[in-house]
Formats: sequence, C-alpha cells, structure tokens
Amino acid sequence: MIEFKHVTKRYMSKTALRDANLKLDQGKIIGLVGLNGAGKSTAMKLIAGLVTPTKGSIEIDGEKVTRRIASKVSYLSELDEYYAFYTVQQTIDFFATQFKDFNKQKAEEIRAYMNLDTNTKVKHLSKGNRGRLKIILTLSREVPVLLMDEPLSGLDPLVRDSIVKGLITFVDTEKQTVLLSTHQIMEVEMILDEVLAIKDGEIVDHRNVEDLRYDEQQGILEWMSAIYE
Amino acid sequence: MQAWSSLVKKEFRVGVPVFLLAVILYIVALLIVGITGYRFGYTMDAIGIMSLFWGAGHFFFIAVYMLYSLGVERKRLHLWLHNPMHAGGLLTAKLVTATAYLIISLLLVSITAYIGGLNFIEMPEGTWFKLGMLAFIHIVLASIDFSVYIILAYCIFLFLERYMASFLSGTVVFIGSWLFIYLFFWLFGQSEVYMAITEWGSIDLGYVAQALNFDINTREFAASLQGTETQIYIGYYVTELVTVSIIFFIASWLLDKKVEV
Repeated sequence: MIEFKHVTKRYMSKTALRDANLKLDQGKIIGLVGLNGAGKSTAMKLIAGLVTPTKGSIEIDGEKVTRRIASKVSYLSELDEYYAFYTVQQTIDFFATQFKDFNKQKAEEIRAYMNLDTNTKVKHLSKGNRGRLKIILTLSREVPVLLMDEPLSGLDPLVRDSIVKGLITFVDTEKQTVLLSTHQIMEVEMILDEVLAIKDGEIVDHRNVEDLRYDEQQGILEWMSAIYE
Repeated sequence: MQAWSSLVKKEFRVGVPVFLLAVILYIVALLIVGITGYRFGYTMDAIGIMSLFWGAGHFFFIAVYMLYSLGVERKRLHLWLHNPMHAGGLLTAKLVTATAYLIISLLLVSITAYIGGLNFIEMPEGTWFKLGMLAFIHIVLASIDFSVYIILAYCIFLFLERYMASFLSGTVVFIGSWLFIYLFFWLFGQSEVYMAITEWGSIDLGYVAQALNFDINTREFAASLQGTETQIYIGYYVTELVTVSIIFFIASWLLDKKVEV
C-alpha cells in the first residue's frame, strides 16, 4: 500500500503538491489525471523517492520512501533518456543486473509482443520504439509498485494501443499496484480501477471507476470536466 | 556485487570519449612535438620532455573524467538514481573506471617519456624504475584524491540546483571551492596542527629527482635532473586518506538524500 501523510512539495517559491493525504491499495490500476503542471509528475517522483517531501512523509508497505525504495518501485519517467550506446538487448541485460526482481523471460515476452528489434541501438530508435522500450523495462520488474509517468505521450495510436494492451497482459493485478498518469483518458479508461485527480497541487478527488460509471453514470472525462470547469 | 560490476562495465562505455580524447590529443601532441623536434635534430628529446609534462598533467585526468561522466548522468538522473544501490556504489563504479583509464593512458605516456628521456637523462636503470614508479603512483593517488573533491563539488552543485538556477548554483560552487581551497589547503595546510597530524612515520626515499633543468641555446640542448634526499611521511597519506574518505562519504550522502531528479 502507498500512503501519503500530509505531503507538501515545494520547488523554491512554487508549491507542486499541497498537504496531500492518500492511501492507494495493492492490486489496482490507478489513473492519475490533471492538467499540465498540476503536480502529477511530482507525485510520481515522490513515490519513487527521486524527490523528497518538503513536509510530511510517504510510505510503501510501511517503509519510508527514500531513493533506495527503487527495490520496490519500478518507475517509468516521462523522459526518453537511456544510454544511447546500448542496443535494446544490452539495455534489457543492464537493467536485469541492476534489479534483482527483473524477470528477463517476461522482458523477452514483452519485447516480442511489442515487436522491438533486439539489435537496434537505443540512439537509433524512433520515439514510438523508445516508448515501447520503456514499457518493457518497467513491466519486466516484479515489484509491488509500478509508476508510469505519461507512458502514452507523443506516441501514435498504434503504439498507444499496443502499450495499453501490454499493460493488461503483463501487469500482475493481484500483486502489483500501477499508478499511471496520462492525458489520453479515453484510451486507458477501460483498464483503470481507480482515478485520482490533481488540481493546482491538491488531490481533489479519488474515485473508484466502476462506482463512477454505475452509481453516477459518468465516464472519467465527464467527471474530470466537472472538476476542472 | 554483480549489479556493481555491471555498472562498472556501463561506466567504461560512458567514459570512452574521455579516454579516446586523452589518447588522441596525446598522439597529436607527440606528432607536433616530434616533427618540430626533428627539424632541430632533437626528436626523441622533445618527445621525452613533452611526455614528462603530459604525464604530470594526468593529475587532472580523473577530475575531468568525473565531470564528464557526472554530466552525462545529470541528463538522465531519473535513470541513474532510480537504483537500489547506495550512492557510494554508483560513485565508486565511476571512480574505478576512471582510475583504470588513467592507468592505461599514463602507462602509454610513461613508456614514451622513458624512451625519450633515455636520450637526455643519464641514470642507472634502477633509479629510472624507482623514480618512474614513485611518480606513477603519486600521480594516480593525487588524481584520485583531487577527483573526490570534484565529486563533492558536483554533488553540491546538483543539490543547490533544487534552490537556484544552474548557472547560479555553478557560480556558488565555484566561489565556494576557492574559499575552501584557501581555508583548508592554505590556512590549515600551513598550520602547526596540520604538521603535527601529518608529519609522523617518516620514510627515507633517498635521492629523488624533483626538477628538470634545461640548458638550451641555438647550437645545443641539454637537460638534467635536479634532486635531493627526500623523505615522505606516512602521516600525510593517512590524513589524506581519512580526509578524502570523509569527503566521499559526504558526497555519497548528498547524492543519496538531497539530490533530486
């Protein structure tokens, strides 16, 4: 379980996240939505231990988050930067040595599913294929928490479709919690269990997608419109 | 251990440009000096002298390497720091790689310096070896030592970037470094306290060359080594080891706890 306790994060004079309290249960796929600059990436980095809260604390399964929580968290950054001199296979092999939980067999399955050539150098990959590589590296880890910051951003519809299908196929929803930030709500709506809205650094709502759909007859987009209007 | 050794292999790939640049620049300098020396009939002498200076310049090798390598990681901190390994492990992987590259480069330069130096410095084979080893070991140690200070400065720079623009952070670190050099190396380094903690356990090295004298005119060239009976202190090495260990620990702590992506 991921727990935020009165978490505030400030960058100089800008408050990226304000007094956030949150509990995210295990085994859920959770969408993190919000406008640009709302604090989604900051929330992701806080959980990954890549930034530290100005106030408050974050715990994963009772363990205080530090940078070394990387042993429990697989983080997909919105950035595309990898070591350009490696090939796809070398990148996978390198990750396999850095994380004990990395499942190389699963990586090979996802790579084959994503149809990514093993011998291509990372520097020669298209944006879409770099997006696929990020998915392979993130989903191949058998960790309780998967964080995916804008995994569909800037990709063509076919790649986006393969990534969403890859999520359904390769995430172990019994054991893994996936927190996914995206602007492509329609494309991920069908796989989300919960949705979390951030507005101006505040967590403004946290809903179960099924409840939203059946009790309030709303899709995520309508729910978001109501929040942001 | 496998994670760390794999990281070292990656660091060898990251650092290739620095190593190749050092070797290529040296070969270019050798060619220029060799050709110029050939015109005046002193090819090997010129190559020998240039190689001696180039070898001494290796003092900066690891510092330059670390600045490059850390600069590469700065562009992908989310990748480098998203690792369960202690920051000390991340940094030592870089230091070990840099030291390996330094030794290869310095060996290349040392061999050329020896071949060139044979022409104008007359010394018994044993003295050549003793001086060469002393110089080699001290350049490697001094280069590692200096680079640890640079690592700390870079980690402070990354930390300060949380609070200010990169340029300002760089300026603060630059000014701070000079202030530190003045306070630590100049004021404290000349104090009686420093002498008391470093000047113990003396080892007599015998005659050690400490300067190269040149006598050059339009018709002839002569070079000779000037040396003295030399002592070194174990205390100095122990103090420096403790100091750089503390500095390295602080740098690792900053990277682990304070640097943000």
